[in-house]
Amino acid sequence: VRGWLILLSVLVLAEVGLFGLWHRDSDELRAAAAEPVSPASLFALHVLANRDDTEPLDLARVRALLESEHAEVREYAMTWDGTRAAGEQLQRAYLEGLEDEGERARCDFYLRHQILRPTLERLRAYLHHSSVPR
Amino acid sequence: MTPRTRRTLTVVSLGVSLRVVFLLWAGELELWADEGQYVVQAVALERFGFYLGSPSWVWPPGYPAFLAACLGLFGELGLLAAKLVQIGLSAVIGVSVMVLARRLFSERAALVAGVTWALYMPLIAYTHYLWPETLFLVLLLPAVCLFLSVVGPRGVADGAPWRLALAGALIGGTLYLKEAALPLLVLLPLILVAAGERSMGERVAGAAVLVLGAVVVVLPWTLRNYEVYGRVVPSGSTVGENLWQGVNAHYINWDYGGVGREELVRESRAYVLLARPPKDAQAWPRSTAANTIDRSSESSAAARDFVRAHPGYYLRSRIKKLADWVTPLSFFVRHQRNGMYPGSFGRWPIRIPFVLWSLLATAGVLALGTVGLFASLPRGAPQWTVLAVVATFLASVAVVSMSRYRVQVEPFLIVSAAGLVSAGWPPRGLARTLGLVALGLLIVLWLLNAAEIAAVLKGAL
Repeated sequence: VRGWLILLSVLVLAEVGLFGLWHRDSDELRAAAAEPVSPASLFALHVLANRDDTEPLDLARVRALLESEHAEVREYAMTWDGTRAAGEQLQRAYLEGLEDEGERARCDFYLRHQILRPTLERLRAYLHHSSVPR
Repeated sequence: MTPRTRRTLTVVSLGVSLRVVFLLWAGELELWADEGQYVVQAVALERFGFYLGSPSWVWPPGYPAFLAACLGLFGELGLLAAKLVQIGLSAVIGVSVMVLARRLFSERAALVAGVTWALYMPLIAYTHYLWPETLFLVLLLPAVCLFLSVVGPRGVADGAPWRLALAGALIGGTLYLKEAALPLLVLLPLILVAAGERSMGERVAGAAVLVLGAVVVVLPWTLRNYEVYGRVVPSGSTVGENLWQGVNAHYINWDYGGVGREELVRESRAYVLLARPPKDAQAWPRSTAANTIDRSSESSAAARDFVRAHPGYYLRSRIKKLADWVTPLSFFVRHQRNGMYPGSFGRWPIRIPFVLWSLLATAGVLALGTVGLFASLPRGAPQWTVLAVVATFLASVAVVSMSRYRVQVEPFLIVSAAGLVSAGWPPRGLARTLGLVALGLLIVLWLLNAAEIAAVLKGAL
């Protein structure tokens, strides 16, 4: 038992040590979280999940958004957690950007109730056609 | 190959084959609620390389990472591949169920438990859903098997430390899927310290090995959370959101999702008696704190205030939550009610025997398994271990409830039911009395929810 205790304790210490070495400046990260983010970037991600209409997904638009602002999306994702305000900003931008009243009401409902129902077809279409760099 | 091994392989092969057949019969299921969320997270992870969080909760990354790996390897067939992997891995659940029954009871009980697992519709269904329940059980059951191999009947004296370390590591693995197993890292060490014939020093050291085994596995994710949130979050943080859903001036049971959910409940006597909020109760709003973890903490504080203000309502609504937890319904029946099976499974009248099969199997396992927990399990550490697992997941009713929160317990109920069936009804005594009392309570809870169960069933048939 003693050997196992030593081994596991060393592993725990090693993990904490590695974390300390690679630790990013959390204060800086959290400060970045308070910065405004591009609604377009958020829209690009959410449109994948939240659109629920009979029309095909506008892949070209999504790809353009993602490609032009990929770095920003990544930045946003890393600091997603502290940004409820950004989520609300997304929602406003999303709804204001929708011209069709029916679709606006539908998306508003989905967003408010956090119902995410990407269909398999849409997901497949996206995976099949997407050329977004990883 | 020994006859025992051959028997185990035969039963498990039957279970896995049935799951493949049912996957084909299920058709292409529309993603439902959290399934969509998991897939979105997986797509973000696989395509863009980051973990997409949520403004309302923190889910551990294991299941999205699993889906992302499947999407990365198999592209547009990734979700089908994920289901096939789940089916393959469910063999671990089948083997574990048989090993547990053999260890706790007998060879006959192992066979009964194995066949029950193979045919148990609710668990079959989870292998073709995109919820993490199957993978969670794939890790949890071997962990409990290993733990019982140290403290249970015929427990091993040698080699115990590695078993405890591995059991801990497996529980640490479950924490990448759901935070629900966290209490086991307190309860199992306590059982270990309280049980056994070794010296107290050895038992405490064994308990430390178990906990450290889990810590080693989950620590990278805990440290990541600390970096992102500036708070210690070992696994996930869903309590605040679930308290908002489940300890508030409204009622929800996700087993009733879909069209007509509110109507289904509103007329129910159980709802009117137990779960309808008092007129003076105001629903407390979600926290608006900037940090997700702080939001959860503030929601927890708001829930505490709500319970202090309405203790009677909280207590009686917990009876309803308990009734929801022990319902003979399952996500499979709910999916059928909502017409979510596009394949043969969902066609009338083919679906009728499967819905009835699911209902009867769940009711049978719940009834016999509950009696078996008290009347059949070997006294001492084995019984405490299984009860600790049941209590860990039953505790969810203090917050929120639905049949999915019971899935983690169902293999253990299958094992204790098999023990009862194979050994027969126990002689008179405290164990038998406790078993009967538990069965009586279960039946009362079923009767409370009878109207809702009947309505869901009617829709499913």
